[in-house]
Amino acid sequence: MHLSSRAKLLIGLAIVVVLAAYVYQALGPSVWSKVTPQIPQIFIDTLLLGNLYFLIAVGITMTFTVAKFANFAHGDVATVGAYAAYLLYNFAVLSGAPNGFAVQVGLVGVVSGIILTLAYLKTKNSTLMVLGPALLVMGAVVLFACYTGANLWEATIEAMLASAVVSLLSHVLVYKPLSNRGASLVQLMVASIGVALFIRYALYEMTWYSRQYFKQEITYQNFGVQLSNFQAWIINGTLVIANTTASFASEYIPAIKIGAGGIAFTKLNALDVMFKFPQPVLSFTDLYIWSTLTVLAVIIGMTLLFKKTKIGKAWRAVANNPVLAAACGIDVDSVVNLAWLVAGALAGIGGLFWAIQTQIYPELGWMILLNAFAVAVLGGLGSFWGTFAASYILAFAEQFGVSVLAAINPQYTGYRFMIPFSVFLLVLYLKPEGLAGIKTRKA
Amino acid sequence: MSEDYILKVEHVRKTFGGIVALDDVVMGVRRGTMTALIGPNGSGKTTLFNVIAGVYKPDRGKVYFDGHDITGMPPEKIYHLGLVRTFQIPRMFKGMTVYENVLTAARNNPGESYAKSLIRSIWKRAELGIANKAVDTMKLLKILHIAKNLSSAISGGQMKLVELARGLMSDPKMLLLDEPAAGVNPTLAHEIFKFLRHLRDERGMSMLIIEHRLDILFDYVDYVYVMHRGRIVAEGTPEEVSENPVVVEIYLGEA
Amino acid sequence: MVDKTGLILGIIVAGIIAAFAAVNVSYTLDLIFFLAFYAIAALSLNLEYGYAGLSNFGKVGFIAVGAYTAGVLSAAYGVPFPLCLIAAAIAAAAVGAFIAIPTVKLREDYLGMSTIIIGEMIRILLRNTPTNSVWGGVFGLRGIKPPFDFITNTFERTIAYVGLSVVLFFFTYILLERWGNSPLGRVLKSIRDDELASKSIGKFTYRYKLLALTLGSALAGLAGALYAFYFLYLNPDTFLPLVTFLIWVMVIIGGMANNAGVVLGTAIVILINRLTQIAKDYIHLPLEPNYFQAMLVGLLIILFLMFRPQGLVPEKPVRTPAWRVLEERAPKEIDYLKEGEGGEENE
Repeated sequence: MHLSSRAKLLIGLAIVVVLAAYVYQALGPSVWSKVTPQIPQIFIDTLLLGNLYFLIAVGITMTFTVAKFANFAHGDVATVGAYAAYLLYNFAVLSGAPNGFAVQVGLVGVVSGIILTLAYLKTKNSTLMVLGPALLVMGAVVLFACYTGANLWEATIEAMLASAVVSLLSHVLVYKPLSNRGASLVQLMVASIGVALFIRYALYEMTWYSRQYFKQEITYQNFGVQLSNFQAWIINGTLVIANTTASFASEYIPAIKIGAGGIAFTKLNALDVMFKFPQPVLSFTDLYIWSTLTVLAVIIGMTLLFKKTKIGKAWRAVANNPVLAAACGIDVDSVVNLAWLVAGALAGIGGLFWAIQTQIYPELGWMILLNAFAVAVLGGLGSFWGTFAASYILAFAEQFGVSVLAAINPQYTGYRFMIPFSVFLLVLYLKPEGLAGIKTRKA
Repeated sequence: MSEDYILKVEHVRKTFGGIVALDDVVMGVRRGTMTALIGPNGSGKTTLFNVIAGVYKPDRGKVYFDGHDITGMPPEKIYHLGLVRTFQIPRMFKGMTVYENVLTAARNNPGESYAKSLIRSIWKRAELGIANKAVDTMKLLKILHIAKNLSSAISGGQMKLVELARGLMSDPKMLLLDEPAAGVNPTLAHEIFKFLRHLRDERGMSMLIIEHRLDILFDYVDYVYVMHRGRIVAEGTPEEVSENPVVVEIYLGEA
Repeated sequence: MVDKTGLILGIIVAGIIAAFAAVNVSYTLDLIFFLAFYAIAALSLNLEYGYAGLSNFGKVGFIAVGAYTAGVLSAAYGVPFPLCLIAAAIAAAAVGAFIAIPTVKLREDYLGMSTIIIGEMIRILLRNTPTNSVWGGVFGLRGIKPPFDFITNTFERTIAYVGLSVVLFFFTYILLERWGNSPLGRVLKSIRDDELASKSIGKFTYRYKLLALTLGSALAGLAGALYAFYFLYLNPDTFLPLVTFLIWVMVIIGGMANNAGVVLGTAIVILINRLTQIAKDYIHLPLEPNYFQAMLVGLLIILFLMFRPQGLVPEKPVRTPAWRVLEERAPKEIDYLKEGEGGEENE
């Protein structure tokens, strides 16, 4: 029974197509008539979800390329960023019980940052070089926020730095010494689970502490960012997009008309929009825009880094063969540190966006991690563009699947997590090397 | 090529992402001979070994062993046909002792099944036979005194010998040896080759040997293939090959 | 050959349990049940990870499959208790094989990521079962028929059930010892240490790994069924990934590929767990003990991997009659060392 992998893939795909056709038939028009009008919305939701998946999964891919193991603590690194941003955004004010504490935290950050930076100047340790300034900036941002009131920019900086620092520390304190001792892949994975548990339950401990001593609930809270809602209609062949959040504040809401005649900014009567307009084709929030811009920035940044700079070349050399890279005079340690830093920073933004979209709680990163693993494996583990494509493929499968489930019976949407996992299982059976098709056979 | 070839490689080609590692390789090993495969580093010798032993599947071409088509056959099946290989860098079972390493390599041990292993009386007799054979083999290779050492805690040369002992446990028809005397002093290297010659003469074993130390190698082998940039560029007896200008050029160019 | 370290530590553990028994009998029964339950699960992981080197991070999923199979069969169909145990093991084995077929071919990290996802998948599936069905969804599965219902006294019944759990634990232990101390044990370890080399000496590694994961899952399913009949109630949210990691800690602390060590590791983790619960009532720390305990689990994993990766009781050579042959023959046969030249060589 020896099938070539291509034959297996084709047979498997044929089975999938037949099954899909059967499901399509079995569900019947009553379901599809509900799903079809939602298709534009499914696509735009896919964009958001894919962005969020990508920001987390790309870090897994990055650390995988330099450290060669799957980091189970990556999700919890993202949670740390989300919490840092959440606390800054909500509690960094001068007055009040928890907020006096914020000032102290900021001071501690600044002072320890200065000490570590000075220590770096003495020792020239590449970890301290990052750690000192990062803590300094984090502390300064907290203090600044305490005096001016926090905004989302500061929260984002905080999230990136906090996650990057935790990510780097986990590498320097745990994974690096372990792999220097010749730990196996499985041992590194298990160690990352240890790190994940430690971080996650430290955060639980923090929420408990906050409840106990500050009477402040910081678990299962909304992030508190007021997102603007945008809705879109197609009226007489013109695309109309309006900020409907504004309708609560004023009589007229800002809108854009995009049609054959070009792009025009107008204002619409809020009551008209509410009562006279048809059902919107699309509705989305600020987060859709922010996350898309972030992903674009990441892609452009990474492309520039890899194509145009020496760091990118060094990074690729280290990913291919660390021993050879070291022999060629590349500072492998710094490149690996950089990979962990960037992975952490992206996880921080990802965690922040996830928290804004859903809620903040210590399990947040863990819940995303499993989906992100599915993305990373589908993307071929270690391929940047594979991960990128896989993020949106899985996101689409999930959004489309949820719409179908909701159309059958709204209760079934609880199965939504099953969708990316099922796609993942399918990939394992059909094409285990993932989209990038890397070699998995040991030699 | 007639039936007296135990191993035949026909027009094998193997590429890795556009880089041609093996290009139309044709070669064979006569039954009961020690055949050598030489060539500069990166000429494709180990890749050819991996193709023969089933680690890589060739893009094109066929490999025959003892009348069987073994092209792309997995390593474990090739082993059961009687073709056993060793590795350039010895691959020990690090968590086990040398003795266990050798014992594991025995063929058809009934105690290796999940069901039969539960009842000791089924496999005890076979295990004792294997144990005696393992002791014999280790004695022959002079590694009996390190039998109880953890296999990760012995020298590189000893690892080479343990690997050879593992290979011999199954009474193979043919051995594929990747640098059996690398990292070993000249005296021991000669001993190893004498031992291999002994295996050829006494047990009729065929061998294909990769080796860099041509001075030692040419005293023992019957036939030599020379590889360069993924191709067989010369072949013949050691005398013929060492006088071949092409071969001389390759090795001089390398230096 | 009695393992001294294990024996001494075992006696200490037994002493602590006896001390518990002196204070409160029913509490001790509970403790013994948990020891037996976790020990079976940890031994099953030892087969997969300790011997065969398979990183199964979805252990809790297979336990859940066993528990729910037993629970549903008993609650909905009144299937007798022993049959439920067998069915649970078979169902978990089937799920294990289904997952093993595509994944054991792949590298360790793929297997690790796949199994953890599958473990969560099983829990989410169970959470989303209809609440009005026998499965119970988030409300949990009720109505499991108590085993040994011919014993009228509940206390005696508990004793009988805990006794059965201990018997099944011994069964598992002996099974693992038999497997581990046989030629099979060597083959599994060879796969763990170097799969390509193992293939090169003719071992059908895929089949061995497939069966290791299948049989390991069967044992996990058995543990799950024991859990179901002990509590007579199941909730999907007790089968969190944290349970898997607890089991991993037991194996790592105890020592992989050493069954006595794994049992010892189980006892240590369970006792730490129980003692923190007790300490909570007496000591007031500015910490929540449950969370702190999980942090400790994470820290223990890291510290053990760094400073004592072999665990408390390190791995021993596979014991088979072959060693007797070596002991008898080696002293007589090593004559080549006397020749003066020696078998040593420089690198």
